Amino acid sequence: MTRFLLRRLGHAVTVILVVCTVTFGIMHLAPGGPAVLADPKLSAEEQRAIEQRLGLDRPVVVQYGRWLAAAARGDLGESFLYQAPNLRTVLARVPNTALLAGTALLLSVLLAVPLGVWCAARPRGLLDRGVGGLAFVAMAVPTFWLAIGAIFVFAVVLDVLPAGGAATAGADFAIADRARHLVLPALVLAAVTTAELLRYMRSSARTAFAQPFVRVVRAKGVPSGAVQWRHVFRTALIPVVTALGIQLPRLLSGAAITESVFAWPGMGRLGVQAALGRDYPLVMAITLFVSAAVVLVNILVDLFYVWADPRIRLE
Amino acid sequence: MQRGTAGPPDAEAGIGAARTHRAGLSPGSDASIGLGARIRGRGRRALGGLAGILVCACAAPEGAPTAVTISIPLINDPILNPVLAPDIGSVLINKVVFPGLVRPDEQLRPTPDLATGWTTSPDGREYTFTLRPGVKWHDGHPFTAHDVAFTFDQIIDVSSGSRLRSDFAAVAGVDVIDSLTVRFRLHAPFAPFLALLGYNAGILPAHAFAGRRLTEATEFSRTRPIGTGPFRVIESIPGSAIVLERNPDYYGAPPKADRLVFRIVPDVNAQVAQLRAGELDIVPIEPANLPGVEGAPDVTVVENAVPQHFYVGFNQSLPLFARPVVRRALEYAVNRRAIIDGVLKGTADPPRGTIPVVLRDYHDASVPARPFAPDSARALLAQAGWRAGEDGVLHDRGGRPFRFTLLVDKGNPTREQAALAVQQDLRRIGVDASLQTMEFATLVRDRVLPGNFEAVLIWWTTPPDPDQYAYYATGQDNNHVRYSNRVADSLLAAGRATADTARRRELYSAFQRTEHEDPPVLVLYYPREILAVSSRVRGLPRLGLRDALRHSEALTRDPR
Repeated sequence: MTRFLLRRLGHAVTVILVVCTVTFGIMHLAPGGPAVLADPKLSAEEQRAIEQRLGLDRPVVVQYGRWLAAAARGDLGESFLYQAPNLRTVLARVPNTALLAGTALLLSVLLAVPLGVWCAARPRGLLDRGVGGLAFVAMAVPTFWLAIGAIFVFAVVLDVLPAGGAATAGADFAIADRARHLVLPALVLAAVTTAELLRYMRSSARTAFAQPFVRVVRAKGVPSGAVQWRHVFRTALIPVVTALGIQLPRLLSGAAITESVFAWPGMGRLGVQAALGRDYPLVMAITLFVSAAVVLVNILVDLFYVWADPRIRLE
Repeated sequence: MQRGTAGPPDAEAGIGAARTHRAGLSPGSDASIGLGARIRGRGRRALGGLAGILVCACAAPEGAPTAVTISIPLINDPILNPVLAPDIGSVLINKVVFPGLVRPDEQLRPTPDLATGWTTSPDGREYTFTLRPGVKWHDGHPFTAHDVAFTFDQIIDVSSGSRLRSDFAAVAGVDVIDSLTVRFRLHAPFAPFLALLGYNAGILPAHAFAGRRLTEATEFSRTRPIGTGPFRVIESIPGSAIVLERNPDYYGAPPKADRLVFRIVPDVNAQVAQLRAGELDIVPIEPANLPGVEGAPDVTVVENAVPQHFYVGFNQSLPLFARPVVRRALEYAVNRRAIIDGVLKGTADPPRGTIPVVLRDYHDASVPARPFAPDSARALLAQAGWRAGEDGVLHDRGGRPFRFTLLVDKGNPTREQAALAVQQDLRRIGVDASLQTMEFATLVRDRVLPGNFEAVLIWWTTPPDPDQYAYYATGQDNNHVRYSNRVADSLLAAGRATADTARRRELYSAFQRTEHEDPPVLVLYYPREILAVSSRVRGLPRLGLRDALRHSEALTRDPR
């Protein structure tokens, strides 16, 4: 177990390094440059002064070396756009994204897992058809459209939920206020994940239902509810949890759109803004955080296998 | 909803800030949104419990009408320091927090603000300002001449991170005469000086920086700025909002609203939705958003002319565009009225040269505006030796086609459609322009600044002054189109060196006549800034938002 973890951590560091290097390279290869320099009014002299102050006058390799060295010491540099330390800027956003993505994920799992098993238990039944149709709609509709539509219906027409933000500005902290702000973005973000997860769960459960051990269990007279939930469910869960681990980056990128439309102060939106503004240090800081999160979640997924299926052993 | 068209401008530097014009403001979401017992203001809200909340889509919250809050959108977290601020959003909030020595009135003329008056030396190279006594910074320190000197020392120091240096390149130094008197020494007489003082040059508190560089004072520029304005920042929530509260020590008229909230809402459609939901009060919008607010209850649309001109710039270092006759022909060929009516839904004024109508003292309406006349365009080009080839495209005597690439920034439907209209109009006279879109930052940095383009659709936002020396005089840094006309050079040089308004009016009138014969750029329109405003908002002056916000003490809103 310890050896497994150590080896996986070694892999994790390698993956993160590769991701950072590729991101840095692509960012500098792309045309254009930092938005802070894209002011047609800048004179050549002012432009040089800014580049010097930001270290942009150095060769890209030197810039990357400096970034790596600093990052290894825990210094993630200072954002061009925010003119503030990246660590603080990103950390301020992490809880918001965690709350939004976490709530959406929780909703997805709570909805998709039982529905998927039910649908698989009676394929082509009324429930299966209805739910399947809805899932395709949810996958097909663009997130921003869904978000604007939700705002229009619930904030403008019905006027029952706030149109954006994570809390009422200037008010003291209140859980009810936070929760009201969370409802729409979490539902919108959950829509796509739920739909995809549901498809995974359904097909995985169908495969499980078809396995010989299920017939054996049935033959032994186990009631069908227990077959469904004790035997099929656990077996079917493994591919779904894998899918869940893979969903995380998608959830974070989906959060970027949702966060932008709902003015939710999260990391996804920060990432979009940093990328658009070519805020190199901020992009790198976010890349580091997100890649670390994804790698970590995948290690957790591996650990989960052992719990879900006793036949699996960690090597 | 009513629409008005009012005058004065606000300007912005540069072709800048593509995503721009939305700075938003929105008023008071105070009453917002709580569930159950929401008492507003500093209020606390009853915890409803999750279940309650999810179920309770019911009852729209009524806030107890205590505090008056005006909410305004920004598209990203601002930098709360007028000297460092690189974008229009930061400029807007800095207008509220950091007054300057002067401010523009509704005619866009500089009037006293932190300075009560000024005198100019006969040679126009020294300005001496008397400062307002008894002014306090938001932290209680007294405001003095040292603050003014400190601010301008930073502004003209290229290593400070200053974004205002080119505005004040004429300033040689600032002397403190006594605690309430400062003298500016200029390298040469510079007429736009006063207008620029009221434009972006908010004054910083010297004591807050004690020995530190401006760029190092992160907590100042992100969370705890100290200004002298009618509202002071009390809370800054990254990515969400900046909350400002009335400054009881404000030196001018007492602020009417209790709070100003700048909410970070990156998406303009979401801003409009929030306006309609009552969570924002003043939202700058694009023509494409008009259908979303016209006819909406409780929303008024106002339009204010601003000192901007949008144009197609032709690179005149290329032989294709070097001759004035060609550029005159292109002016005849483009149906600018159709662009204004069709693409901008009428929210712009037809152009006549590069000095927009909002500069009422200087825009000379007696200069002829070149009409849409494709036949005249064809005739001029034929005179210049262009003949139609069999593909319908014009060719010169050497057989080279009239063909070029027109660049436009990606993602703004108004500008993309305008570029398309230009392309189609030109095709009709046999000029073959192909469109290329790219991100604004790429466009500016890789193409416009190095002069690596044939034609580009872009714009200038200027201070409220007709000085355009930097853009259109030969060899200047901002003359990206490489325009060069001796007469224009001398008129522009004289115009910035003359303080006398009547004399300047003559000079700029002559400049516009010169432009008519030798157009530096093909001006497409003078846009108006469109603001969607909650009908409850009162006290918003007929100024572009940037200048209007320097009058934020007058803003208020009726109770619900």
